[in-house]
Amino acid sequence: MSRVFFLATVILIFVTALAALWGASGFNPGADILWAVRLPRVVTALFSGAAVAVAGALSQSLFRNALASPSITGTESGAAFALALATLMTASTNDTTTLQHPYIYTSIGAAAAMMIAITFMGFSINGHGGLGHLLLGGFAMNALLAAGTALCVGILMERGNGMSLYHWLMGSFSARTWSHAAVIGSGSVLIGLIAWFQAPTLDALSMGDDGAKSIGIRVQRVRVTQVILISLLVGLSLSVGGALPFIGLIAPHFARLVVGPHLRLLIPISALFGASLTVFADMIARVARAPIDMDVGILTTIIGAPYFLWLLWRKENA
Amino acid sequence: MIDARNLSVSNRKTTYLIQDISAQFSKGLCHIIVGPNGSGKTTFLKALCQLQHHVEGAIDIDGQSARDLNELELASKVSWTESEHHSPFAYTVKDIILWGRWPHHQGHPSQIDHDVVRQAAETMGLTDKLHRAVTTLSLGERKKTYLAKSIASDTPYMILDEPCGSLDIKASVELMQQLRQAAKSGKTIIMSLHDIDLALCFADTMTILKNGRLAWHGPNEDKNCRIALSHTFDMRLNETWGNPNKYQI
Repeated sequence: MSRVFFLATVILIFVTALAALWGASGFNPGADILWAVRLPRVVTALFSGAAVAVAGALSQSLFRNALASPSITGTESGAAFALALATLMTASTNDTTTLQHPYIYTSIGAAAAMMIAITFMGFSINGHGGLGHLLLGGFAMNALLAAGTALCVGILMERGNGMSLYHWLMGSFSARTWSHAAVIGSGSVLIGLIAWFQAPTLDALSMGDDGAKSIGIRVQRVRVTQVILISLLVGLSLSVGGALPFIGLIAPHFARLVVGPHLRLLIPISALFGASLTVFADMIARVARAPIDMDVGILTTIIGAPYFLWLLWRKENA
Repeated sequence: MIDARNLSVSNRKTTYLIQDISAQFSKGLCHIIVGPNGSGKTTFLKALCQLQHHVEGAIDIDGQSARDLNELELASKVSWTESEHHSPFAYTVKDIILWGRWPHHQGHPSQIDHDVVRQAAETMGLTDKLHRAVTTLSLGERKKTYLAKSIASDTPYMILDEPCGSLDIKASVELMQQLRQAAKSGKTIIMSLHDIDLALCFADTMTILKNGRLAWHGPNEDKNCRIALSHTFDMRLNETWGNPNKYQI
């Protein structure tokens, strides 16, 4: 176990160092570029990826389904819609990048979407919702919220200033500062630790509500805490870097293959994998079409969606 | 003693799943609930474990109202074993049995908890499977895992829904003998069973449900018990049913 932990940390350090040093002009950024531009961006990406990965691990235990993740169940879409709405409402600038405390809107949006998912997708009572239920419910949630978001983007485009929101929603870490890194860094570590201390309770929750309740767990309270933690993680990461589709699915899923289902290990390993993946994706997004920055969410989707399809295919052919 | 008085459970559409059931389950006995499919056996057992919504009536456990007990207090008195188990993740047999000890350790198991788990696994013949993932087990083995969890919980009351479902005949009889043994040592067993024959062989008291209502409740050896059974199931039961010499291993 400690070997896996060591290896995952080494991978993360390696990817982070590579991303910090590699630029369009080679491996030699000046000290000021490294400190003022490259590092805050990489650190923001690192903690955003870790936050979404941990949110994914928690979602999977909350929904009792290994394919649940913030992007599948509509949590990310909820946060994105809230951000779009907030941008639209700040009539003076309509600029997402200058929005004050965006994580408040995104967290509330994520929480609302999760509450709807739990209520209407029927997972709260016995958790036997099944894969079809999850995917169809998630499909409807995502479609509805995407329509709302598209409406906001459309209106802003007509006003001629929709690009900042558009790029934000597609996921981008370009021009992030140390203050972004500080927000996501402190927030994700704190929330991750709270989740980590709840790990044994979450493990036992895999028995379903009745099973967990019968051994003395206050299921309702644990569930509400989970919704809050997941919403904050998704909300924070979306407010500093935009959407990172599929990171919340791939990282915990892959981590579970390596270390098994226990959340005491799964949470930190998911965080390390999610961070490495996101830093790597952001690096590719930055150098692939340099000097133009691609949106990192596009890259995580290109990696993540086929992985998801492969998982479904494997489940069908198991 | 668990004392259920005028217990009714309704669903949201205000139709009753079970209605007006009163029954006493005294200490150190093996109580068996039988009834046709859909007669409300599971609903009744879940209501006893405080796992049902929309419950009317009263349940007293050792003279204390079950509603006044918090989750942990209840869990250290009553253990609940479901009839079916879905495990979405590959937790090990040991993990699951250890969850039965939750009221004792609340996530931080001690050496005693581990020892109890090993013993419970041995009782159910799972010693060599302790580190297997439940997702790789057969239905019967999974069943045994959850029964071991119930044994490990070491509660004075054990409530089990269809404990013999998906077990083969030998395993069923062994389990029933183990549960009787547990009752002899002071545990109170309340379970539902499909198999009337097995129930007649091993029960101290019988509770017969039909269409959500109590058809009969009393000692197994009472001759009215057999009359109520044949009425409820619409079958004639001759003397070969419930012959205690039948299941010898």
